Amino acid sequence: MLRYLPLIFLLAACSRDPLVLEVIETKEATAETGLQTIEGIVEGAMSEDQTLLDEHEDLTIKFAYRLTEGSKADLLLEGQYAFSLDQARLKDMPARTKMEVTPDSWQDIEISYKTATDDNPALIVAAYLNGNLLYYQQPLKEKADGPLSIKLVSGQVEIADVEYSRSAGRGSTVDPAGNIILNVPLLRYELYDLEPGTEDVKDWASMEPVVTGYTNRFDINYLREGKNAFALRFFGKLHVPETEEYTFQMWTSNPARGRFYVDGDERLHRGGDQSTWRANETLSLSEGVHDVRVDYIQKGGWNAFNLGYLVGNQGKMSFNSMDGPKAIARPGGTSTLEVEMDEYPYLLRSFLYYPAPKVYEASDKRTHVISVGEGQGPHYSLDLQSGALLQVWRGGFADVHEMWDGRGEPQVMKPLGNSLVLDGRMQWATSASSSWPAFPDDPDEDDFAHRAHELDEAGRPTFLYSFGPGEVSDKIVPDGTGLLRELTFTAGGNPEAFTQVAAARTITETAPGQYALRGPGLKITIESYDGKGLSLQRGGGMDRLIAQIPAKGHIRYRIDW
Amino acid sequence: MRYLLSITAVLLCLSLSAQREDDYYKIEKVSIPKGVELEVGGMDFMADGRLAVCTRRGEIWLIGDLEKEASYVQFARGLHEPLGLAVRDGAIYVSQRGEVTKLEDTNGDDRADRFETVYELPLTGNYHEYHYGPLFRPDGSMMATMNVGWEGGGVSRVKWRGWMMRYDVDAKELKPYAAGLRSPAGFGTNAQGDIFVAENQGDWIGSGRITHLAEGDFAGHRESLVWADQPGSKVKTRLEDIHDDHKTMYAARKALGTVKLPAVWFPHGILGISTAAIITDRTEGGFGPFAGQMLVSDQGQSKIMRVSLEKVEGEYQGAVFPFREGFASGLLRMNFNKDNTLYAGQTARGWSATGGKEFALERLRWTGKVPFEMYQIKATENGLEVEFTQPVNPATVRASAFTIQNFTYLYRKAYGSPVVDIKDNAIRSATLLPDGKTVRLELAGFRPGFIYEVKLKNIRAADGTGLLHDFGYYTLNAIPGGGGGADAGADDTSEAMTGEYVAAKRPTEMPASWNGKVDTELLLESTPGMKFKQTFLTVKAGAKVRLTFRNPDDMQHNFLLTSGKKGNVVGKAAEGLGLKGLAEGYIPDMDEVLVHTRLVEPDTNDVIYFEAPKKPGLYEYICTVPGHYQSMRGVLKVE
Repeated sequence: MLRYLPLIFLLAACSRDPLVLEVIETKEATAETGLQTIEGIVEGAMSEDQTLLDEHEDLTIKFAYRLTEGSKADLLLEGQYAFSLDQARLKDMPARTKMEVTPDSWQDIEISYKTATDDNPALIVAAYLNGNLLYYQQPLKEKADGPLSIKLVSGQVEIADVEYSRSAGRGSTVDPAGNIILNVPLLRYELYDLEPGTEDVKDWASMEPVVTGYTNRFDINYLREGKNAFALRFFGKLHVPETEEYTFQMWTSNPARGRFYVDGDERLHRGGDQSTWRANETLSLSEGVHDVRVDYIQKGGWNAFNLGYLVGNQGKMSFNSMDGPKAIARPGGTSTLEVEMDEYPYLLRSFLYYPAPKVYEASDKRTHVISVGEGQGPHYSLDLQSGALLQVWRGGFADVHEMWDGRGEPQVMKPLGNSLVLDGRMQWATSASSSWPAFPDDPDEDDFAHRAHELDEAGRPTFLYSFGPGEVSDKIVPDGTGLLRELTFTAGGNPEAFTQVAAARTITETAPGQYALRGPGLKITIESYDGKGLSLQRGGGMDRLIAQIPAKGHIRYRIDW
Repeated sequence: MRYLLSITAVLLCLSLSAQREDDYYKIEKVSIPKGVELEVGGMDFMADGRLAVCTRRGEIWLIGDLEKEASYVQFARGLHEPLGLAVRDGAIYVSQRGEVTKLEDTNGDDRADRFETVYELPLTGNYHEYHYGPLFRPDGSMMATMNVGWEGGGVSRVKWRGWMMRYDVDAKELKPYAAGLRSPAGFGTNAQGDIFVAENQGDWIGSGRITHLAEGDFAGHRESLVWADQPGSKVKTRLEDIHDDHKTMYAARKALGTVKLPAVWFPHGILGISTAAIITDRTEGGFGPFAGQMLVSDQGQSKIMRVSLEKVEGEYQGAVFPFREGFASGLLRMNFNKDNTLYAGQTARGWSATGGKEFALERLRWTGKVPFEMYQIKATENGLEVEFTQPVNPATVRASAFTIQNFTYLYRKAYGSPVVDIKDNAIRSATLLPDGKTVRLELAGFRPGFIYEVKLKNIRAADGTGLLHDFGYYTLNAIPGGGGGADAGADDTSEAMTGEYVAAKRPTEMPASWNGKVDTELLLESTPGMKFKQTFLTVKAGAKVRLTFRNPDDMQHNFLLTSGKKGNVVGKAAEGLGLKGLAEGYIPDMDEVLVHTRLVEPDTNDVIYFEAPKKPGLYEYICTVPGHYQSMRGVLKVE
């Protein structure tokens, strides 16, 4: 109780109660996910089993859930396959990593699911808890035919933010700027062995694939399984969001051959030892679903394949291909090299994929990141160019295999535990009335810069930044299973600053100074604050809890999960 | 035919077996405790005599008791691949990937507790965006260099990649200083305090070299010029000025006037493959007879080269000589201790080095004996003057004791360059000057813009001592007096300049007798760290093979199939090829070589056709780019 005394004193001393939230709506557009909500279902506390979809086949389902201590609930896919929400795993099929589900904290689950066909069993294409990979390309056993439902086994479960699509992966979207993002949600592929030197394949029917499976990208080098002479065929359904002229471009390495088919017609062909740099074709594609197919034939030599498109003035876009400026995570990569820990905190600077990439999804690299770990956590990563807390996790600290093995080309650290990814926008701003500032294109040209960090006796750092009219500091220390964060602002005169305490899809006040977050599932408790007030900024699909900090002011709060 | 005159360095070395580097300079090991991965990225001595070392894994170690069982204290850790360290006023400065950081220990417990960002650098996340330095200048400012990124070729996607930068500590301002750098892993000052930067072979960089950099200079790598018109830049060269049509840097300099020529070229494979640290011998004789000269280390060949410089027509040029080889790992950093020993910080992870160890810390100690060496080479109006460290036996001074050729490198976007336009220089006269130590050589075909290989045989000191090293390379950017020499200079576009090389053992067409059918398709790939990805391949005896050698690495590699367990024999022969090797893609002309690819550029491939040996057995294959064959090898099993 004593620790709250300053806060109570503070509440009494202010003219306006600083913990009363002022809500600010911004005009920021929400990013298009390609998913839709489900009509007629009950979000919130469930008192009984609930059917989400009466029937389904291919599916991407994404929702948040929260269980009370000891509660048990299952998500049933096609009425048959049970995914335990309390254990974050399929029945009888251990996940890649065992993940603890903290009671009373919101969890984000995302599963893409491929229904069984005559030839193939049903498949969990990918499943993520809070963005951490649980399953990838996991076949299920029997055939099934039933609804998508949540079965309440015992206790209490709440659900929220339920979204879905009837495809097993991310489909095409139109982003807020009007750009058309074409993407085939899932590609079925077939791998064939070829006689070395085979120039072309015409009679596919006479051949038997040696491997069949699903993938999200034309990742030839990964899918060829080490073969030098082979063919790969990809089949998918492309949803075209708007009728337009689309110019497709295909590039293959010499001496590979590629063909691209739309609705059964060959539209692009590049092959053999031809010298043209790439094949081009402009197609008028109508809104709606089109069958697409790629045949890739490698008689030997170096493999490479990229398919891209141009539409309007968008510039070249990648089409389910591995090229492009962003980092793309492959499903493999199981070797780890763990940082050796001792009694002092370990401060590790590195690049970081942000947000943590999903398999075959593109991700940015943050380049000035410091991760701070001690013991079994909690640990955290900070972005020194924005001051933002990027992720928090418990368990092991850091895998540096991609930094210290060989040349360490990615220079990326990976958290060893199940990380919760936080908002990566700027930590500080000079105003809260407009959209909270995004990570800048040129971080070295803004008025925020890391100046120094200092270690205390225990080796824990305080980060010092220059910011606008003054300086800010940030100290984060583990406290039990959570983190305690203190932010200060120092400036001459009377300028004010604003700091983002937390950002999430939804922030709910549970008591004065206490907030429950969903997406990510954190709890925030303000312990000490001497500013004018807090505001909740809403826009772009996010809630942002923002605190005004006067010159020489501070805020201290707990982060629990 | 002109190559016939070239006698390989190996043969010459054999005839000089009486002289050993170890008699003059001894390598001593500094102990490293188990568990410390001392992959040296940078180092400097502290006021208390300890050596501060930063490692590629981000640690800083303070190493004391250097003469005995060395003591190690961890000062800091978790830095982002720091590749340079300097001690200044009790603080340690390091260049991390994203910034220069000042580290201080404010409570005296030998542990850094304050990390100050001196300045921050933008990055894209490309692994090749390395950052080196800082080097403090007498005025308190600091210099640092920054690699270009690598995307199958150099790229400068963010400011100021490919530049040397100067940071004004008082004004807290980072200013562009000079451009045109690719992978400037080391830089330092000469005895006069002028800054020299070492450069690694790559795109636009035909071979290793050192270049004097003054403010506003452009040292050759094109991509940095994307920022040349930005505020603060004094560089006059522009992107569009630089293209392959210049053929040579010398010609580009003639055409543009703004290209800074290397002061000294280091022939790739002969004197290094990856130049790194530059340090001047400021021991005033405490380290031997080369006071005031520069030493340049090499990462890949685990050795040190020595440089003598002179100023001709206002600019530096000079000679490079072998100095000391045999270090344990990749020699990235050098520092003199107060006792005039030279400390050598080493690492090889990801870029294997001749020494073979993953990392090492060693020191080089002068034994007090003066070797008989070429001390320096200087240019005259019609030739070269070679000064020796000791008086020369006049009877051994004759024209036939010298063999001189000159050559140059292509200036082009493609990776590296073969040796091109090799010409012999007939020696008109060789005269011992009155000082008894200097031989004046009058040369035919003396032309500026070329590198002169000077090889000696049977020259003896007055006391009968033979030479420790018998070759050196002088870079003739200008002839004293500004003469044009006997030739027009390295701007001709004759057939000699194309660098194309066609070989009998590189069959790139499928033999017609195969009727379009291949029995076996082999794919071989390079992988970072000078290795083949596939180290074991199998074929049937006599099979018709199409082999694709694909090189996704960021340096050149080749493939040579040997006639059995002949990897070492062929590898050594390739290393001894000298200039001829450079000109012909490191393929020794010997029966042990069955087939080979061309020198394959990064991100390209080469396809060859051959029939597998008829006799079952194991056939080694190797890459013969200098420094590679020890690690880059595999076995073809013929069944």
